[in-house]
Amino acid sequence: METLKNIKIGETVRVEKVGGEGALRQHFLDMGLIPGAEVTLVKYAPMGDPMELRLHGYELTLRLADADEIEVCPVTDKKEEVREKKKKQKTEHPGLGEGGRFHAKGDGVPLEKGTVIRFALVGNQNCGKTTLFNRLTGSKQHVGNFPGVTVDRKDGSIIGHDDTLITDLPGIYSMSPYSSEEIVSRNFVLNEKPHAIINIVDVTNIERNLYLTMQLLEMNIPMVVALNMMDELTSNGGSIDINHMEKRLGVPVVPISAAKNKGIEELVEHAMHVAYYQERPLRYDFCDKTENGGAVHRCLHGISHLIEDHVEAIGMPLRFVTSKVIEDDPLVIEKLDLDQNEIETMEHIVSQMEKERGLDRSSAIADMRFRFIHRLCDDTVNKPAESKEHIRSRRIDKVLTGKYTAIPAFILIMGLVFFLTFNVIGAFLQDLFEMGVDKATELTDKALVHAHVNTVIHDLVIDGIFAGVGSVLSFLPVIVTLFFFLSMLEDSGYIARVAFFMDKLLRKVGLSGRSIVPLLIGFGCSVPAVMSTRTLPSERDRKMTILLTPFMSCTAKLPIYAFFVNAFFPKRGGFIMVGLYLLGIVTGILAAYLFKGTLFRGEAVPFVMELPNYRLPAAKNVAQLLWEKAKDFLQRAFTVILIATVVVWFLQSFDTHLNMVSDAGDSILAGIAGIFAPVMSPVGLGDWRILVALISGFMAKESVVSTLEILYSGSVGAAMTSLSAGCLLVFSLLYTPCVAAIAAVKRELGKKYALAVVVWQCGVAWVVTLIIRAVLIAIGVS
Amino acid sequence: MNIADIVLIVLIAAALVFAVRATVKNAKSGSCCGNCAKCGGCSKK
Repeated sequence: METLKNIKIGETVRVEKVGGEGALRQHFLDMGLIPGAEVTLVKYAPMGDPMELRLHGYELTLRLADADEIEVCPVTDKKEEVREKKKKQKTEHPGLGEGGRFHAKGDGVPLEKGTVIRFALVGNQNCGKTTLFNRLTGSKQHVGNFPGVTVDRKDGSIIGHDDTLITDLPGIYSMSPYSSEEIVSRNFVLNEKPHAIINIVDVTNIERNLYLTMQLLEMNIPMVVALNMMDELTSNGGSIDINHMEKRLGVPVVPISAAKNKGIEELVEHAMHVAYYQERPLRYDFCDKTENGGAVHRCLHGISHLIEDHVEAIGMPLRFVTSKVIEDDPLVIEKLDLDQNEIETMEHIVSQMEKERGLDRSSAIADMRFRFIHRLCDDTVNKPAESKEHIRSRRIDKVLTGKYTAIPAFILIMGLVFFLTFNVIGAFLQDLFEMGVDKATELTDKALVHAHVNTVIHDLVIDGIFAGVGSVLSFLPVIVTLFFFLSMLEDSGYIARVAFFMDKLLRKVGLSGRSIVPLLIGFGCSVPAVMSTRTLPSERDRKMTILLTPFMSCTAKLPIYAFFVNAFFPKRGGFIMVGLYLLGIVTGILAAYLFKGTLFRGEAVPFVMELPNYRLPAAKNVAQLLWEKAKDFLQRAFTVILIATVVVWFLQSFDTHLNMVSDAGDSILAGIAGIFAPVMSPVGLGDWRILVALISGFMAKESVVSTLEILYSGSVGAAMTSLSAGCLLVFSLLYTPCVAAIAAVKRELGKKYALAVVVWQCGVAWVVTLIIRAVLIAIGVS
Repeated sequence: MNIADIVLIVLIAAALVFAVRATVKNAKSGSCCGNCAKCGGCSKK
């Protein structure tokens, strides 16, 4: 029997059997890889693995090893043809979720007045959920954590409705326990019992999105379906019979475009109505008793009756529990506490269904849902053959994911990003900033002299605070610029492609392509890089990726590089900058090999990922992100760096008897650093001032430069040699990340890992600096 | 020491107290880098 692994590019096949086991197999089924589905091979990644498949109107990546588990047979005529525009039959507007003539007095069970109405916002990844959430809540958001797991949680109240609380749940494809996001979303809906669900559906991938909708309907919670990206569908000649879809689903269906801010008001009105009056879905039973002899229908209803007392006892929705039980969901089965007789009876019923249906249980349930979805879409959706956005994405992908062009394009794009950041936009803005800081320092200095301020305090303000904090502030434009480009790349959909073609390469070091995202973000800042590992479904991959992010040189180190490159290597600035980044990456790769063979033996997580169409990121989202980043940087400058600056100034200005010193070598600071200096001498960093600066770098990397400026009284260039500058650059690249990053590691992996990262990174930095120092001496750097 | 010195000392002290409190709070909660889409942010509400 042929498998998906062996098909040719452009070939369309029909899935016969889905192999594999456990949660991964269920995930394949939930993504639409079910028996009977038609799948087309679009391309292979440049390195031959993974493959990009097209099914149900969207692109999915799959590794060859996983594709080998799926048996297929050829098809001669594709199902995904353009359907002829159906003759429009007028469906009366059902008016679900509306007041007026659609709501009789006494209908529903209204909530008590004054209740804070709680909503859950649920949808697939890449469906525009974040954009919708931002539209609904504006800036009234709060970011937090789901307790006990490392999954994001965002809450906010709907604009104009202060008595509401909407929770943005992670993007998920089903309610199966494949990933922690799915478990969290499921538990949120079941345990926190929101008053209503807003299910956002991407109409350009409607079949796959409706799969989740059906599972949400089974939960029997008041719900509104928001059909997002309607503008894209209609501009490509498509349409949806909203009334008919609403009637078939039994919940209000509202067309919206979150990006263009259309339909949001109507959505809010419907959501408020169904939530307030607790109007539950009119149907959650989608099995057809005439289809395939009604095997699945009888199985579902039979088991429902068998377990309904147990389900009632645990307070969960019956239909949802029934389908999860048939799918062998261990989390649900455990909760039911069935006795042996019931378990055996259930097994008989399900086995009978499998025998009659000719499919295993999970495939049968997935198939039942997709059949309903296909019938619904056949009757209500007019899809264009191929949307403009998809055509555009295919054309762009010919270059950006082409066999010979993907990696050169990636290097070019990243090179362009860094060039624009450091040499053009960032550099220009940085000069402006520096002029501003210098002017502020000059004016303050004059004011202090005029006010006859004490010399010690004058010294603290000008040579301590202004010099220290000011030298760091000027890097804000560079950092914001880099973040701008990185978020544009991610939100546009390009980073998903990078994950696709980097998968094979990353597998060599024991990771999957998904890990590229946190590693790339690490070039911006280690804190979000560590946090973004939450999207990795495997704990092993997550830990390993977190341990590798410190090797990706973050933007906070830029002030250090820029400072020393300008002072010591002005003609080779670009070469040295690139060299430093590459050194970090190469050291990271070596560390990954070491981890792979020791701490993290085993294979990386399977790589099943959607490739969304390329999209222009919403300006508002990007602007909000950059503002938050700038705000955070300024906050750090005026907190951590201010503290470091003042502390360093104090320790280097006073001796142990609290007398001001004229020579910094007599200060408290010199004494402390002197204890550790012998450890750093072999790597050319035995000067106590350098050591102090590195210690302050633990607070915030940006403060290394400001501390050196203070300790060398502004003449670092004259006091250090090129060799020691080179060693400092390498050590700064690799030693412990800042306290914020370590705190993030501690939150994700615990105290032991956090401490281990500090010690490990310092050790690696020491060893590599030793080697580089020997190389520099050998080539004549002094 | 004149009034300007005293004002400056008070201001610097206040800034340091605020900075220390903010840093300790951020360090405990894993620090927020501002990227709400990717960062879990504060675990304390």
